[in-house]
Amino acid sequence: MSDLILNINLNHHDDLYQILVDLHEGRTEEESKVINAKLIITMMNQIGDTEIIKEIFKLVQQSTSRPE
Amino acid sequence: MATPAIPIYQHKKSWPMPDGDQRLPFVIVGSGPVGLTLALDLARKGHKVVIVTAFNFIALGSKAICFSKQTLDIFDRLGVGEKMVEKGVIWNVGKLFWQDQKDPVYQFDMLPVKDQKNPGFINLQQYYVEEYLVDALEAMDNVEIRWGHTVSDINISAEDATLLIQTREGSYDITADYVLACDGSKSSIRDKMGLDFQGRIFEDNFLIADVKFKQERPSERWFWFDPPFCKGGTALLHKQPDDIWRLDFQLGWEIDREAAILPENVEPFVKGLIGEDTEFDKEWYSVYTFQCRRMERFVHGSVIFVGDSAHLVSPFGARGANGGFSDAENLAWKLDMVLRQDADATLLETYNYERVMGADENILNSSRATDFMTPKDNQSQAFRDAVLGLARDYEFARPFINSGRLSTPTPYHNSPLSTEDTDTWDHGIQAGYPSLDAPLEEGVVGDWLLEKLGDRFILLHFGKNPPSASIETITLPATGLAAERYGAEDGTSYLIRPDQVVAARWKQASSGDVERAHRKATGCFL
Repeated sequence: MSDLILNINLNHHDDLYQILVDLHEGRTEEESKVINAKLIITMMNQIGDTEIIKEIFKLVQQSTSRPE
Repeated sequence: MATPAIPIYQHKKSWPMPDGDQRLPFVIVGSGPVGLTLALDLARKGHKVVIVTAFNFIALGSKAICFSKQTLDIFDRLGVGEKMVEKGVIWNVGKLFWQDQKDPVYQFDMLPVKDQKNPGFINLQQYYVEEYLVDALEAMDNVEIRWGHTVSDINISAEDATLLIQTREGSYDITADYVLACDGSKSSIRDKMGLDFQGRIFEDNFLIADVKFKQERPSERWFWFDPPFCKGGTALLHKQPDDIWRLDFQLGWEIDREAAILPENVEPFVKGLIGEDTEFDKEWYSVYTFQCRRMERFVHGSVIFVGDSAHLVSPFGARGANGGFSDAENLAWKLDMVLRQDADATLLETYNYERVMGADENILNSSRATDFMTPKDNQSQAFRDAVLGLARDYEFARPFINSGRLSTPTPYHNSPLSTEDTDTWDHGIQAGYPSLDAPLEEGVVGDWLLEKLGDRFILLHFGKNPPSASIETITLPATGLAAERYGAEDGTSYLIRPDQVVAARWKQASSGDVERAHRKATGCFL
């Protein structure tokens, strides 16, 4: 059974969202892709739990492949 | 002066020109909601109030429509709150929609803390707010609303400021120790003083369609991202009194603004939102752009800027007018003390400090909402769509959605009027934060703490043995909802300012503590 946290586990959403968007300010699309990829790699290491990371991948895959 | 382009709600008789020039302690310029509120506050405190306004009418057009709980608390202290709530449409719930999905992605409650006198918001046409304020002012002997008196020039000296006033019968001067510029976003006083705003201008146009139709819909704020009837843009629906609905559509930058408000161009948007078969009548159509900017300072010697003349925000979050009322209430008690010589004029500098902070918070929230609603590049668009795509199924994504962070009172961090905590607190209300309401007796409706606090300095004490103080003390039991909200134990005291902001708090206060904090809160140590 997964221990993936699906309820709210953060504070200061608006602050973080702005920082995230600002990371990409003035970058080309190619640069943005690299920035996002590096974010994922770094966050995976920070999470440090293989099972959780797999759960996240599954969640995103299912959430995205579903027809809108 | 009255221009025929402005539709009129109520005509007002032009005020006759006074005989000769005048010398006044203060004069209010502008008869918008903020100027009227400031006027009523100062008049109720016993001052002779003169308002000069270029208009000789109350304008039609709903303009501001969302009035926040804090604004209603202010109106209550001015004796007009209950009338506003009675006429207004009460709402607490907001719903967010995305694209053509019928069910909301998410909904939120604007008043998570229940058992307070006033609701999270009411919707009410601005002209009703102005009418009720004008009615209250006209019932007072110490108020003159000089309709049809236009400021045509200002001269500022080290001591005071002189306004040149034009009327139909001629012109005269008012020299005042303080000029309170409540003359709106296009403030002529700001222009004549050569002052300007700093901040961002957003390149976008929005269409307001206030329309009248009868349809059973709940009193909720509905917001759409990228709906089929406004592709790539946003839309907003609000209920107002008299079966009038506020519809707001994002149009983009490169548009013909005059053509956009022609009925044949507005109609498809309205029908897209309310349905093809619903008959409606036009009340007011308008196109607006917005800025998120403020003056560097609101206090310029004798001239003090209040409301839109000092700061502008986007409408998403209802932070424009509501921010202006907070300005008025913050300034009124300070100016009252200065005029009575109970405080030094330096106290007014804290209006600048606290309300610049308020404006900055409103500008930050309003800018972020705009950036979320109108992603500035593909990457921002991807983040927004990712959030919306996750939010229906996953709670964790919902707080990222930003359709406007609706106006809540701004805390005044590190205010020079606040006394820092010396005790350790897990709960309750820090200095600089607004007081919370609570029923005074559990289960008894109609008796509220905020009403009791009123608009003077109060020592709010919980439990036994209040410290002896030179200011009025209200004592409440150390248990119950109020005590809970204030994190109070037996012996807890709060010092509360006339604008109901907490100035200091103690678990066990001495008379000396209270006296010192009171002196600090009235500007004695600035």
